[in-house]
Amino acid sequence: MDTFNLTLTRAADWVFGWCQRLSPLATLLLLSAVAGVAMAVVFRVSSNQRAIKAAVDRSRAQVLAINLFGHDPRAIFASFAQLLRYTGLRLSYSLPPMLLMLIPFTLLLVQLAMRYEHQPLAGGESTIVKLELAPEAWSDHQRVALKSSPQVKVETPALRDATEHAVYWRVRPLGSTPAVLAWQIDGQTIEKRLDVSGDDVALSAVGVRRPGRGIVDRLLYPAEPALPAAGPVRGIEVQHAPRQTPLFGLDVPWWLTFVLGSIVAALLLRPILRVRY
Amino acid sequence: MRRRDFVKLIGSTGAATMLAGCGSSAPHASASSRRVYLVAFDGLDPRIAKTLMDAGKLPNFAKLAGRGGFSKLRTSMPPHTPVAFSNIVTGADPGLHQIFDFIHRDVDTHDSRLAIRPHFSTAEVQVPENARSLSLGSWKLPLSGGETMQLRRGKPFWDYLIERNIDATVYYVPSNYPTEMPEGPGRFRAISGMGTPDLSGGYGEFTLLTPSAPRAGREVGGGRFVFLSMLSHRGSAELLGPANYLHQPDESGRVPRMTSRVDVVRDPTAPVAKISLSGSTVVLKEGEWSDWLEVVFHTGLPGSSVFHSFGAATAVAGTVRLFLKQVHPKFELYVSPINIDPLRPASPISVPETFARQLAERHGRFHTLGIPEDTKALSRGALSEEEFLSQTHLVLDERIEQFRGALSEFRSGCLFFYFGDTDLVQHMFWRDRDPEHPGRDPQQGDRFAEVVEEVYLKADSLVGELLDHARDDDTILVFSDHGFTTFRRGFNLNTWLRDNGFLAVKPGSGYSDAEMFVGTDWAKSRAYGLGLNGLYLNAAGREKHGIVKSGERASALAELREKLLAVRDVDGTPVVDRIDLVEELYPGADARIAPDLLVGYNDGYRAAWGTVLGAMPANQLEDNLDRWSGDHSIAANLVPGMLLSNQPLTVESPSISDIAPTVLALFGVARPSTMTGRTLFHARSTT
Repeated sequence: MDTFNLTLTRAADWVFGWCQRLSPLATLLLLSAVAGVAMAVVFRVSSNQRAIKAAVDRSRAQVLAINLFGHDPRAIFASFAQLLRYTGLRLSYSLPPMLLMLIPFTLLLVQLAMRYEHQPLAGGESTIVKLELAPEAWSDHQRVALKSSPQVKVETPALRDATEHAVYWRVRPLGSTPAVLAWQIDGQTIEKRLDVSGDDVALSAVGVRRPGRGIVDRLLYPAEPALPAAGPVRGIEVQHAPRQTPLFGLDVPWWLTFVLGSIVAALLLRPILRVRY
Repeated sequence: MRRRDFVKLIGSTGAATMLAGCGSSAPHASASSRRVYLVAFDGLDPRIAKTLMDAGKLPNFAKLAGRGGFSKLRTSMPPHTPVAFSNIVTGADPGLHQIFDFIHRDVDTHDSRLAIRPHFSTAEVQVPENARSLSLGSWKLPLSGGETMQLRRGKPFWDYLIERNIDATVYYVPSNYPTEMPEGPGRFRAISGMGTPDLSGGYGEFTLLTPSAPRAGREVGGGRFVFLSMLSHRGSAELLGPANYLHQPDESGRVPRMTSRVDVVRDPTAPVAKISLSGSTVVLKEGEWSDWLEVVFHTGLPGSSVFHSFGAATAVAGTVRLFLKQVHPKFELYVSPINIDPLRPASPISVPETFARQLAERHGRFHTLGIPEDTKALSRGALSEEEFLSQTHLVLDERIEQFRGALSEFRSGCLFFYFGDTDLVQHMFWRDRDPEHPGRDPQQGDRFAEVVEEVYLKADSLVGELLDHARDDDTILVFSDHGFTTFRRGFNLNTWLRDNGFLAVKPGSGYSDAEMFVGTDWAKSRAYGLGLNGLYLNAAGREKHGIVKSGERASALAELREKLLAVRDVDGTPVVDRIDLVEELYPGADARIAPDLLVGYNDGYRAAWGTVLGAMPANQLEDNLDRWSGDHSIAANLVPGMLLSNQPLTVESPSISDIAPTVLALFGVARPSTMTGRTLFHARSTT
């Protein structure tokens, strides 16, 4: 899984590298358009277009019937029932392509989230680090230490939260380049990348969490390899400020911009792609 | 050359020609490229400044004085910052701008419980009488809103500059909220200063989370103590926000206030804690300030969070700074007053509206509250002296950053920058330099004796930066709006009025610290005191329950004047230095706004705290034991301001009202008829 995550992240880095001259919002809109087209193509290939067309035609016929026989309540109810049936059919025909696209789409969203959800720390900007311990390891390891380095200043003593089995520190990167936080636990060195950038405009992958061994945790946080399975640490998080990508001056979440952009692109290009939804 | 610059060059030709004919010291720069710096340090006293200059401790002040001049600066009566700065920006006196005190009163109040309604003198939210709203159960959806009105009348000098295509930038000048956009081709930017409210519309309320507070909390003037106890080293409390503007008033007519939850976790032994507020989390050591944190208050309307994330007004956000006072054994957290967020202002704190955001993006979020230094927290024990000073340093550091930014981008026109810490530090630490002050803490001794001097040294270093930046042909005016002196004894004016038969109380009403004239029998009262220096007749036809007829007015005023000037302290010292009849001093004063008399207290005396909002304590005179131990709300002649200039001053006895016409003259703008001030440099006068 770590290798898969690494490969995927590098591939995404390569794609984003091509767009580095564009603003983050322009990149997002471009990618949403490409994703919309790709999804439309996959939809056309993987769905029963003939059956969808038939269902659409029959739905239209029922709408026409409702208009023509508006004076006959029985006819109206019958047409409504048929309309519901064909609408359900259309949805059922959409299920296979949607299932087919679910995993790639999720992976794409995770890669986008890694770049659009948060921004890297600025040099000198302090942040909070949270180290989660396994409950059974709490009593032995709650005094785990994080020491300052030439790259990072640890500004507070460790704050131990026994309820969450977590230890917190406030740290401040001293330079404008990525740094590394390191802990010595049971003779092993545990590290967490600290994403720092001197450029707050360019997109870069931000690893807000080094995941534990859980599959969902690793799926959602692919920026760094998972923590050792046998170790006492369950996850390490770094607080990053959210990245803003306002759309027409509105504070629209990036994912909504992406989804809307994809839908608009897929609908606009429908005649060219000759696809029915 | 940009089009704007070209137009300015053409437009300034006339002004430049006029200036050229004015004498040998005519400026080299044309009006369009001229630069005038106005730097105001609130409350710098000329006597202290002179002493420190003579001792060689203010080298930059001395350098500036050597180039031009150093002088006392006659101030306004009363010598309050809102009044004085209204004089400064309008070039006139209260007869024009109608600001007479921090507090004015509304005699037309519709509140049946009040005879008069005190309000802040410089700005007020006015809700139109025909304001409409849609009621939905306990919810009220306003269909028309109130408007914050600036109450200062008269045109500020920058309006004339902008009209003539001369740029002006104004930082934190008092009595300028909300700032109005002048009309004209010049570029105008301003951030409002003293008078700018907190998110709740007041002058700022701190919160101290502490296990020492009663469970229901304790309200004190300027803030509140909120109960917070730790269980397994975790705790939470509610932060009180603005009134819920979408909620119907309750049975007593009060609108419930919105709240926001604060969650804290502390380490079992180490002096460190984690604090979460509105989705933001900080880790602080004991004795540390947090950076700015956003705090969001939701109206509770269904779906408020979702709507708010899309910009709907279903919630309102402000910013606070936290100070972790103590972690063990008692957990105590100070929360600053909730400032309007400059990145997303809930009220118009700048002109243009984007200016506050630009400043925040360039220098980081900053204090927007009109008086950001929390003197109330110090007076009420929520902050210690060292903690208060650390807060003043935070504020000053922000202002210095912005000052440097303003200097670096200043190209032409007028730059007006105000610093307020000089005033507040002197208010709070004067007793430490006054061996005879009754409020001195023997245990503290002289620990803070140098604090006041240090603010003068800081002001001097800022003047040094200004001198380094300015060109030889720039004009620099560094000034204060008033001086300072000790505040040893408080005079309860309303108690004195009561004891002397001017203010009557209903049977059974004893002396009390209760404010708002509780127990007053208005049908038998002839006068009352409100604000720091105001004395009002209970005039028939003006006050709600007025009894003093116009034919009795002159004799009543004369009697008050005579008796007040005769008041003596126990050692025989006169309490009052002068009494001014407002209609004589300021013929243009609006009788419905202005007091009838202005009480000019003697050096060392001032209106006691209870007087300001109508309390009648038992004693006419009392020792001032408050941390607020220095003041200037006395006779204006006793607390002049100071003026430093890089050009020779050619007028006798300069006044704060001279600054505006001087700036206009420097740009070749004729003095408007409304301005009563003179120009400080005759050679450049155009009038």
